[in-house]
Amino acid sequence: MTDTEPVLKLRAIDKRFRRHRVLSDLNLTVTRGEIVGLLGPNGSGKTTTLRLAAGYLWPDSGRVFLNEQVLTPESTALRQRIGYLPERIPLYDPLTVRQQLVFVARARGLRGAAVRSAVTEAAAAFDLEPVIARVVGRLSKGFRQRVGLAQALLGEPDLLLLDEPTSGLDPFQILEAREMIRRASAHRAVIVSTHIVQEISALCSRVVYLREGRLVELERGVAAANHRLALIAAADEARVLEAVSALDPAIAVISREARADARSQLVFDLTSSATAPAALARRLTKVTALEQFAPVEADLESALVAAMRRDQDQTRP
Amino acid sequence: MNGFTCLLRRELAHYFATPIACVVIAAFWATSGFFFSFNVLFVSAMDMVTAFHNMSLLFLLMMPLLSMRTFAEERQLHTLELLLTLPFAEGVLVLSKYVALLIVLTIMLAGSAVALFPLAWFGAPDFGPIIGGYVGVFLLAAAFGAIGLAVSSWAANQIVAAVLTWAVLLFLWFADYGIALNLPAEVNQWLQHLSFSAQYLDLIRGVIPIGAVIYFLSVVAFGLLTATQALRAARA
Repeated sequence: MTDTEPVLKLRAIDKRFRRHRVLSDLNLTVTRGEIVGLLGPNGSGKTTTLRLAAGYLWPDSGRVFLNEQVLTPESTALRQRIGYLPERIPLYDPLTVRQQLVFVARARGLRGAAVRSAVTEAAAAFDLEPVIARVVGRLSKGFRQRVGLAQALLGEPDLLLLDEPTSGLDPFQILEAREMIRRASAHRAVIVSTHIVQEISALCSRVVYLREGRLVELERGVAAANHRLALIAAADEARVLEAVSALDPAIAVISREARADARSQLVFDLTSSATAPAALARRLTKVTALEQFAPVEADLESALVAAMRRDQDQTRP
Repeated sequence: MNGFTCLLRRELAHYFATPIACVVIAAFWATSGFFFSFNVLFVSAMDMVTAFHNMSLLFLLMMPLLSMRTFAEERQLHTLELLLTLPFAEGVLVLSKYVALLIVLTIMLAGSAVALFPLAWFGAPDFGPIIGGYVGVFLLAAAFGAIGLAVSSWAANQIVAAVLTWAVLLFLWFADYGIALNLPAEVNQWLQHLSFSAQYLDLIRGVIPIGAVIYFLSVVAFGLLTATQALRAARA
């Protein structure tokens, strides 16, 4: 199998929980070697999307394809090819780390010596040897995360689904977890669900975000180089906003911050506007005194927020 | 079959990695042993019928404690998500948990068989009805376990599962008492058929009526199918 073949395809997925529609006509393709970041606010359907891809939930309509085969309730063998790490790591507290890993390895169809070797390799890859005989319930959060990742990768799945993989970890553990995910992503398709933009920036080759149950592709939008942002500091925020809006409604405000010197610092996104930064500066100096005006380099976070805002504006009735 | 064995091993490891199975087994052995000794020493009842009756009541109390964790604990620990994304069919999941429960039940009954030594030493018991009685109590407790498993598969937590199982078991135990409520004859007849106590009396005497066997196996099948359905519903 080549690195461009699709591993996961979600097609026209609809999912409701009682009367609440969570996902609507959702389409997503993830190919081998890709790490797709699934962004979205809380309650936007990220976890539901991963659960559908993992075969834990079934869609009301639409289909999930794994390696070009339809995932159905009966296709248990196909589920061997999926590694899934939910947000709340599913571990059996009374079992030892070894027992936990052996169970998952056997469940994924490994037998005999293959189980032993897979568990040994997983323990080595995730530095679990010091705790391999320890009861899972006594592990720190960081080690639980490692066991969760190790068990998701047992049996060499083609698809790896990670739901908030670094939530609750300290900064050092976050770096470690990211490194482990990066290593794990070689030759498989990975989806990382998160609402932390830095996570996407550090890990993902492509970003999609969920808004009101629909997926919006941000593949091009996240390229920071495509963004033209302007930073303005002024005493009269209201007049600046009014003037910018009157000049070109396509200019979106990305952030507003009050500074210690009682000035407001505003960042505008000029990407969708034909207005040049210099023209914007000229216009604003006519209505208020500007303390600062500078084109700024867009970091990924600003670029993402700008892309999301633009999408919302475009789809707003 | 491989998935079944894998799940069964994990389930048994889990039972004996926590104190609950050991505590329930020890409590069952101690209590049934106490009642047996009491009957032999103070009531001079040198038979197993009374012991089987006491065991049945103990199982009524204790099986919900064993079955409550089967699925409710998985739901609480979020490990149900793991099980349902691993390559297991729902039916295999339910069956493996049920067989693990039956293995614990067998250990409980096997330990109580120590009572047969003094019986054989001091008397000449007829082992036919005793074996029949054990089969009967096993069937009864197996039915309790299946109901507990079904309730646990729908319950949000273990305590709720145990309490609801006790409620269902008590209802089924006393269902034939509906006659005292002056219910219509047809309803009473249905309740009579539904009642555990009406079905198990012959069983603990060592007689195995085919009707009672079919009844208990039907309860087991109903419990397991209900649990399987609950897991399917959890995916919807």
